[in-house]
Amino acid sequence: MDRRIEYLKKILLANSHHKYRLDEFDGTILNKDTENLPPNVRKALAFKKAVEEMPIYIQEEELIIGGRTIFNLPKYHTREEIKESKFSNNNIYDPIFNNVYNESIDEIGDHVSDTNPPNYGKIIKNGLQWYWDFANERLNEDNLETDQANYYKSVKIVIEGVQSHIRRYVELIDKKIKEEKLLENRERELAKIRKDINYIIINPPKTFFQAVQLIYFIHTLLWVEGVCLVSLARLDQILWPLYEKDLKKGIMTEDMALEIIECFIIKLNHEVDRPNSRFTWLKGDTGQAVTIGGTKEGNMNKSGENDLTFIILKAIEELGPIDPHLHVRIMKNSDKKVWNMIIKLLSLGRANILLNYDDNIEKALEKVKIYSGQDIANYTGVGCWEQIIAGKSSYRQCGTIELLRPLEWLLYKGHNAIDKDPKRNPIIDNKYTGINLGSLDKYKTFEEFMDAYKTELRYYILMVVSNIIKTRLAYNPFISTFVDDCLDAGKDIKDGGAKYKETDLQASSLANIADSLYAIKKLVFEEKESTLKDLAKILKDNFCGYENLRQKIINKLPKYGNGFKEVDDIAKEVAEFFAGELTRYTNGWGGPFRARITGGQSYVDNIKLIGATPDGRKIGDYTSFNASPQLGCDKEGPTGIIRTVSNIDKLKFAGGFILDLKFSKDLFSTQENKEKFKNLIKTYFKLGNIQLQFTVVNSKTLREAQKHPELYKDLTVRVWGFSAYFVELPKEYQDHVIRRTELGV
Amino acid sequence: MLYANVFDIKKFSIYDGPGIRTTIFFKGCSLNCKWCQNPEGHSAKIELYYDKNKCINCNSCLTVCSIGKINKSISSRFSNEIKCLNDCSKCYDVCPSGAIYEIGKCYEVDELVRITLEDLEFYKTSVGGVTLSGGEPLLQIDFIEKFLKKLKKYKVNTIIETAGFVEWDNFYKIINYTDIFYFDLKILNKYEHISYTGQSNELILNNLLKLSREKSEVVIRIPLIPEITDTDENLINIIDFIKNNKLGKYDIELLPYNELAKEKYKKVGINCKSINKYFDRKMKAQTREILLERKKLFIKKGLKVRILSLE
Repeated sequence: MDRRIEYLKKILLANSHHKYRLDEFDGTILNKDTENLPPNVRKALAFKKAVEEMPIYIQEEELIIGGRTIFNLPKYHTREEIKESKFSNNNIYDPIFNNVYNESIDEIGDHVSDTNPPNYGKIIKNGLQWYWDFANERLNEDNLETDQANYYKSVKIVIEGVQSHIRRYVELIDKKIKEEKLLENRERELAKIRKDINYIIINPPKTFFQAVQLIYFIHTLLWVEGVCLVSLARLDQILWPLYEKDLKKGIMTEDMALEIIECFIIKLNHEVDRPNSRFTWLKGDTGQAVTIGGTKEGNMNKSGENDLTFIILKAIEELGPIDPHLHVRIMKNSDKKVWNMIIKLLSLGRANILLNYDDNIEKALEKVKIYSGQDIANYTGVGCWEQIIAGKSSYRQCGTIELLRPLEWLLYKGHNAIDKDPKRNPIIDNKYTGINLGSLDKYKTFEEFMDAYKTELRYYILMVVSNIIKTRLAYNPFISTFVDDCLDAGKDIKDGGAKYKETDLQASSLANIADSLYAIKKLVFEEKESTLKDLAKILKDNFCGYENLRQKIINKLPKYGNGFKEVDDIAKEVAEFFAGELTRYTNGWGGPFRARITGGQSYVDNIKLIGATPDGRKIGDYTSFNASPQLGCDKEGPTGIIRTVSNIDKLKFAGGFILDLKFSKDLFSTQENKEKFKNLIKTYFKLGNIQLQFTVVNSKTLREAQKHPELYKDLTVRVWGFSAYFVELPKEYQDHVIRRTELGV
Repeated sequence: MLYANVFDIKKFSIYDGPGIRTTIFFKGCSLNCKWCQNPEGHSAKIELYYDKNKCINCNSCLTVCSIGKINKSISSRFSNEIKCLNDCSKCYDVCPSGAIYEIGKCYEVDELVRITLEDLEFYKTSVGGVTLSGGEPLLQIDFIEKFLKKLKKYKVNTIIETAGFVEWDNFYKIINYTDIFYFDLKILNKYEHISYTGQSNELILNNLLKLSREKSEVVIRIPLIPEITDTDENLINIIDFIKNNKLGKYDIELLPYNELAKEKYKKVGINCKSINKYFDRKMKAQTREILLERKKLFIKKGLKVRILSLE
């Protein structure tokens, strides 16, 4: 790591960029002239005003410049719009049926696009001015509809905004050079940056540095538009042509490219604490996903790993950053070097890596039946775990199905066990309950009981889906500019302009529902140790007076995650039923729902709204996260866990299916062990799985870090689908990581 | 029907041979090494253990205890001094928290084959397989013979870890179904061997020599127990023995001392009073430097040696 990078990392950890931020950006674009403009044009104007007026800065030593300094747009909603939004409650959060957490909402509660990356390849090819010219040309056409005209007007406005934003940086450099006493080197450096950014205001970038800088400007301004979880797509592919060209021309070395990438990654980490989420969420949950590896762009039969893939990996090795979320596309024939590098990063404890296995993921995407083969080969990882087509998708990730909840409804005649939300308002309304299926005495077999569970689950999915369909979307003039089909058709993604309009729904607590249903099967229907009615009462009382029963459930019954067929089959039945139900619906744009087995924030937070469960979990206890076994229940080691999850058909989960494996660092102590580890993972994918993420840390280290946070400032750990600084996590999330690492190999 | 008594089945076992393996620990041993790292493998009988940390003091065990007399407290029942006379296992059956647990479980051949084949895909990818350990696996030779034959039908790589103190016939029966033998070499001095393991080493050394005439794949494993096996004198004796008998063709593995066993002894409580005092000496695991020095001794004599879990 060179001195520049060391310095930039140091000031990043000290949050030096925070001082440029404006917590509240005052201003409005509303006046007599603008009030009557269509909403997307108004938003485009607000965006332009924001990027033309927000504070800008260049820190010492920075090579990549720019950055978000404001967290709201100037006012652009009319009084009528605000008034009207108060009457529509479609977007009111409720913890059960409308629990879309991460989505970003605007002033009137409309959902801003999230997750979707622009088509950076096209931007680099054409340059900014091309978009303005394109829109301008379309505006001159005769048969343009009003909506299309408004769209193209908004494109012109946002492009003008970006251009003047970059121009402000040109002026800032001029000012710096003129007024500050800069070292000679730095002055030369800034002069070069000035020349480069001045060039890309109009022209397509012609060097690697210009391309990276342009991507950063656009990325950071997407945050300003209000988009959250915005990804960066396949950077090693997108940047490859210019990288190769610069190297051939001899104007850049590999080391220089590494430095540029490292500067870029440090800039990404400027955003980790302020995701545009509607709740202040955990630091690091930004969805800044960079995808590497995979098929070669434009040539489906070739593996696309290139020198840039390794430069990005090297940067992660050196920096140990929490962002980007690194989505690594690997496949059967992946370069041995990629495997070795990934294993090296894992052995160093890098927690921001997600492995995507192309051979299986592509099959799962085919099953969604909307994507072309070429697009599937070019898929990109976004958010925490999802895959979409950059520049063609208007993806939404929507809400959580808590699999334990329908069981609660079944046991309590349609009611929730806990009817107060301990943390947030509003209190869960009693009208928000499941179906009352009547007395529990009528179930004579476990199969009958399971059918009833499915009835509740089906109802739950229907309710959540209908809420998603009802949600109102906001206009997104900036991101819509860079989505191919939007630009061609003159349609914002709000109006369905994108080619693909997929929506994901996640189901959480898979391990707990499998363990719970199995416990009922065993205790009630086989051993007849309890009746359903008694069990419901025991659970309602949080196992009070029944500690022996609870201990028996925990210690003597087999659990999900150990390759025990009977439990695994229940998990399979529930998960695949969930996926099957989703195929019955389309979202509001006519796009498909895709199923995902992940945990999101549910395992620590949402789970507080679930009472005691038949797997021995008491009120307030955590659940498992993602598709992993319940804490402390994976007694058979990683091969047992893998056998359990391999039992489920992953091709039904195009939205993702995430397993976390945990290992202690000691595993990586010898070359031989690393080889064994690699073969473990290869077998996992051979068995039909699609994704895998890791926690590699010793629980002892984590306990030390809890005691002496000051000594472990840059220790990163995996949270649900991203990495975060361990010492900055809330205590309960820290505890979850510790408990999950205790049984590591 | 043939049964084996097994005290542990460890999947994803990575220190017991090549690739990803399943290691099966057979219960019962013919030696009585005072430093034994698997004390639960000593007795061939199924034993009851008690883990105080898990006990929720529900007293379920006391109400069913066949002896009845020892009912003051559960922990005294399982303390070193008082040994359960009945082995009726009633307390184990009722214990909800798993504080009372059984060490040792009987398996039929087919059942154990089924369990080990669960990870067949992992063996295939990693060129791994199954390792039989213990205790002394070769004591349960009839079972093992059948078991190995069946595994070989699936082309699973097989390893036996043995202390070598069994009749040669036991080796002979399975020699064709075993890919690699991991053969323990502990103490060369006969009298010291007797005093630390309870038996003479003649049979063991003879078996190793016979095996070396029959089998190309043998790994000689030397457990490094501070002050007992890990002395200059003993290691030089071992090296001489290896050189003199032309065993230098085999890989040699040094097994660093593992402090984890101390914790195990605390839980066991039963039958290991005599052993315990060796752990009271606060024996420490060797440092990396010491291990590398030991390694040098072997390398100087031109032997192929590595330190397990270090390289």
